[in-house]
Amino acid sequence: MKKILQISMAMAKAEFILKNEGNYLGVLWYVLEPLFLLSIFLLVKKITGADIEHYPLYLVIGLTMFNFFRKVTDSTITAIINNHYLLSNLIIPKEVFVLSTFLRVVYSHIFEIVIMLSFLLFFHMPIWYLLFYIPIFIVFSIFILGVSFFLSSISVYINDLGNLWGVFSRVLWLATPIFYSSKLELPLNINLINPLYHFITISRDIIIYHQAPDLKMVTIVSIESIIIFLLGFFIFQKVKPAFAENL
Amino acid sequence: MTNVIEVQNLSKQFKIDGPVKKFFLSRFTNVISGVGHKRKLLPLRDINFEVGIGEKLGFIGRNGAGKSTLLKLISGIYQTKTGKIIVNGSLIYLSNLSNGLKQRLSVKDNIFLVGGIFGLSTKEIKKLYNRIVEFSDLEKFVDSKFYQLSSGMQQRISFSITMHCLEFLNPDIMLLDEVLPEFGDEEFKNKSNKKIQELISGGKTVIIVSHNLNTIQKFCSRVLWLNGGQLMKQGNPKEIIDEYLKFIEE
Repeated sequence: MKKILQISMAMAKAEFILKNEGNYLGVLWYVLEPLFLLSIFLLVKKITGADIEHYPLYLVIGLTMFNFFRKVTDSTITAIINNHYLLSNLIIPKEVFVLSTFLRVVYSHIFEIVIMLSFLLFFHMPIWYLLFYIPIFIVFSIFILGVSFFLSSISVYINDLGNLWGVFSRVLWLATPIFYSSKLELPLNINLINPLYHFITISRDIIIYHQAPDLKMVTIVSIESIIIFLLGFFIFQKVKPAFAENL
Repeated sequence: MTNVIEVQNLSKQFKIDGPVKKFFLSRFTNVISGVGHKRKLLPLRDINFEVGIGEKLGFIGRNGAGKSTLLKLISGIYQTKTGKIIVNGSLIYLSNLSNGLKQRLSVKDNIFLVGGIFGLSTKEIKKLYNRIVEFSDLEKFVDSKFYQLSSGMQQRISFSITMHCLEFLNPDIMLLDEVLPEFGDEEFKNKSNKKIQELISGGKTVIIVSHNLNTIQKFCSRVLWLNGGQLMKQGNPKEIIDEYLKFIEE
């Protein structure tokens, strides 16, 4: 386990340097990119979130959490395929390719949390509620890693998975109340079984509205996350011995 | 002599893309699905041999004879489905010196990345860092990007990182697949050959795959000749190499 983490950290660090290498604004993009997106939604506030209390904060939490999920899964889906050369030429734990990609996105997520913090300060909101984001983030990461292990291993055998996931994550982006009210009635309401909706709602309830989250929601999302992680990890372990031969 | 590797009745089968049937409908469905017909390939058939502790073994044979597949099966990179492989001891497989190196990273960052991929901690790499740089004679280029180095310099730093990590990890068994240096100026060649000699001539078990028959003869005490996935002969390096050369000429 220690070795896997060690290798993953080294690879994540290198990927992080490579991602910013040659950019004039470097790591500043991690702040600017979400800020641009936030500004767009704030400009059309009247259409999307007129009746939402503390809309900028509501938006920043929704966008930050969904972006984290999307960035990790979009990258891990190709984590094994893109590293076929290393996989077939080195004795290396296969988990490191998923973990290093995850850790690289965690680095950028830290910048987004700084934005969250700045928004709380700017709107004179208490910041200590943000501490509750730590346990939420841990369970959220377990869920995301489960999905990532599943996607990275299946995409070795099914090339179309990348296309399918692209469509699915767009549907999820629209179905999850990120920029519109969670009270809005939708034609296709998948939110009862949508872990992203649960994670975002729990975070908003605590950080913005200072309310205890719905216990039923917390239980459901925790069980869902553990099941998805175990399932994803189990599938990954089952198929990983044949990665080198199938790439 | 105690065996550290035992290979029994080993065969391997791959499914590779084959020619597509010429019928119109079949072509059409292949275009739509993007998936062609697969055919079976047997790169190894019924291989049996043992490697004793501390033995230096060489594999020779034409391209496609199954040498690399065999090493990848021993190292566990490929799955063994037919036959049995027993390995006693820690093992490292090396098939390329540039494994993991990134063109747009600096030499320094690359040293930490490749060291990390080999499983070394940052603290351990820091200890090796000066030796790696000194050995490659690239003290003035540590902050340069890897692609900014000449190909000779790239090979020198790749070799230096790999050999120093290997020395540090100190595995019981080393599987070297076409990695012995045949590059650089005379000074570096001598230096790298000395380094290789140090690594190989210890009490370690080493298997070398190389098309350079002089290298095989120099380092190995026994040679296995593979042809078309089958073990043709094994024995004294000089005798086997002579027979192999005669076979190729014929």
